[in-house]
Amino acid sequence: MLFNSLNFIVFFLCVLLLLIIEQHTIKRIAVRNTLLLVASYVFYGWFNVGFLFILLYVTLVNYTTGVCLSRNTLRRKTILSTGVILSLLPLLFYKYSAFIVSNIQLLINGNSDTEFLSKWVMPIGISFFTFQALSYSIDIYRGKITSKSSLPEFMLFVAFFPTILSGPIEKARNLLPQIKSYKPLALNNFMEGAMTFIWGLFKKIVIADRLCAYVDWAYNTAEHQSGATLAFAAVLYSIQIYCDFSGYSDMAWGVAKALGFDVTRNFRFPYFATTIKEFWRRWHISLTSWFTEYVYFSLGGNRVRLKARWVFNISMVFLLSGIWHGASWNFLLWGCLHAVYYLIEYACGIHRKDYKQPRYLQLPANILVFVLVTIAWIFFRIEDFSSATYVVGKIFTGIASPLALGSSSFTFTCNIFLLAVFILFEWLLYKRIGLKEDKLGEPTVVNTLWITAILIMITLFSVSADNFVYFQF
Amino acid sequence: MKYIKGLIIIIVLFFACDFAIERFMKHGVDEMYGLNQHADVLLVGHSHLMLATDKQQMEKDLGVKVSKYTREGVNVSDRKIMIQQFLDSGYGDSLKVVLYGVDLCTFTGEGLSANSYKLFYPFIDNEKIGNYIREQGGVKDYWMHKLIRTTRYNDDTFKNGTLRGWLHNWSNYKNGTVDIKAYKQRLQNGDERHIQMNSELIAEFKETVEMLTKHGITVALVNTPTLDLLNNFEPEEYRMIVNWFQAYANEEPLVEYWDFNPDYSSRHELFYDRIHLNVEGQKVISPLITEKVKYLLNVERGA
Repeated sequence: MLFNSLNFIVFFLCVLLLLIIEQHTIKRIAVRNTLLLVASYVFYGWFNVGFLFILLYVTLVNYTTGVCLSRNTLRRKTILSTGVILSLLPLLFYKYSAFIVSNIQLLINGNSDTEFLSKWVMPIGISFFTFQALSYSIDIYRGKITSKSSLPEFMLFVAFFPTILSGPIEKARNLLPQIKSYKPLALNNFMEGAMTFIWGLFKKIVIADRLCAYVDWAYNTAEHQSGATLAFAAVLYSIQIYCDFSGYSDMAWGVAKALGFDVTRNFRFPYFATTIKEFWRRWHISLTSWFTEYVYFSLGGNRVRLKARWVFNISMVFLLSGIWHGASWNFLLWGCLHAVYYLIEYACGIHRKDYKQPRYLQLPANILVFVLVTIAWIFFRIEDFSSATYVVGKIFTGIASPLALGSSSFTFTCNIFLLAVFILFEWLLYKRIGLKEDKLGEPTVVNTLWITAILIMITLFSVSADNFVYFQF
Repeated sequence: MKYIKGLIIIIVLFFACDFAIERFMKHGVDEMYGLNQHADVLLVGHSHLMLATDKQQMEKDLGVKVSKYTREGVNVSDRKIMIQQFLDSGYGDSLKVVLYGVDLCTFTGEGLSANSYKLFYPFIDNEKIGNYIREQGGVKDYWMHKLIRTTRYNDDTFKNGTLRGWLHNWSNYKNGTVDIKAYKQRLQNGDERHIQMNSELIAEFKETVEMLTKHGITVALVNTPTLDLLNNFEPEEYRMIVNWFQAYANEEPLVEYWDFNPDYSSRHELFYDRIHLNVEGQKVISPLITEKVKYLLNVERGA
């Protein structure tokens, strides 16, 4: 059941209706949570009932780890390590076994055959809910969570349907207290959630899915395309992946908000960043925050004596972030590129606290960051290293070549128009001119006109796609 | 209370805009396909006929109104609905000649879009078309397009059609020439549709023709050229289907069969791809079709 499907709208309205009835009759938190838990399992099981077993396994492992940690004062490290390893087993198996086996086979035999592993379909969102569940065990270990949670509460935390498929990866200390407290449904929350959901839907099915057709066409026929066409496709992919993922995140945020829950905003206009460091503070915030807190700080963060150790810590975070996306060398390379960008920025003194970017440099810096991120996205998008380098080479050597418009010049013109509209809205939201992200639910004239325009563009220009880029991760 | 008021205003505003935009777009689409005019000649078919004919030039040469209701991927069932739609529109009484596009795969029933019913969304308010969409796409699909009117124009083809209708731009052409080498390779790989004679499609086709001839409308089955390499892919089946059309035309007094293949299918420079003519091909074939229509109209007038 995808957010951008009629099935989900019906499902969500049913859940909402049940919650309204509960709110006006029983008014008990346990009943509300049970309703949400059943809804979450139905939502996730809709894709594949078998996935529920993996979800349940990860949930039980972390809950048990949490219980053991809170009861034991000794061997806490062993308990946590066991819990982390056991939690990661399904993720390692589904996501990385083929990669590891094929590389070992390549080393030993010179060829690889992982066909026998392909029948195992990776559960959607496994990386997201595993990391979310792990945050509970680690936070208990670190003493950041002290109050106990019941099993149903914890099950709801891990399976919470707005976030289970592609995040945001919520930390237990943010979401669990909300699950434990009864916050009645409110119309203002519903409106704010609905508006954000519609904006996310627009980004997904109007912008991302329309651009996807051009990007796929250009990259699939790269050898026949000019440098300009491939450069344009690369730019469009940057926007596509942003709209796809941030669109999903907005929808998730909107659904949670409508139910009265505040989850993390996963994106904060990343393409307006003027440094790579700032980009990472705005892109996939929940994952960056997870890696920062649970990996970077665990390695010592920047409180290390040797500069080389800090470089190692930073590089590890970026490499793990790359590998988190998938078991493939291209993701590792993508992580490496970002690590290099980050370290170069550091070497240039841009990360110094006293560094203040001159105003006249902000736009060029913004463009430079976008170009660097776009180049990295090429390696992210194209799995095969030689194809990716071929595309990059062709872009740099043939940028001044004719631009192909794709299968239809009319569709191309429509896409450019929609892109312009999207960039305008995004800029208005970023600058808070008329539109304010945190006040979209307010019934103002500007908001009313804006949301009507968005709805009309959705009905007129959307294309149907049955997937989200980040579902594969 | 202010949130409920806000929500109601958004809903009302949305449906008002939805209605106004739909009206605007519907007019454009009707203009594009000539569905809001009394026409003497109606062209019905898919992209073969679309790219082979120049509607504006035909109108100029014939001195009558021509409605060109051709769309990509429409199958025999779709065409029956399209013709029915025109006849029921209130503009069908002036119709004298219908040019019905046929080709070697008219009765194959595979290869054309299974979702071609979606091309009828703008006309969903027509009862027969509405029923057709409900049958093909299901109740959910039907009601979504029935209630939210702009979703009917979701496909870019319609937005393009609307714009062109309003701008009175009826040109259809493609530049470029078929890549013979690549196509030969494709044939060698056996990657081509197989000719079939689906009896259900034949029955539907016959019903469509009868629907027209019983109103005294002449039907010309127009076989615009397809590449000789394609025609020779399954030569026996190809001859069988051509003979079938010819025999059918011979049987029916108000049916003609015009086959442009013998003279033009080997002229590769006229093709955009194996089945579509390019702009040069259109310049050659469209006047020939016009001449034949002119003759039919003259016969009709008793000249």
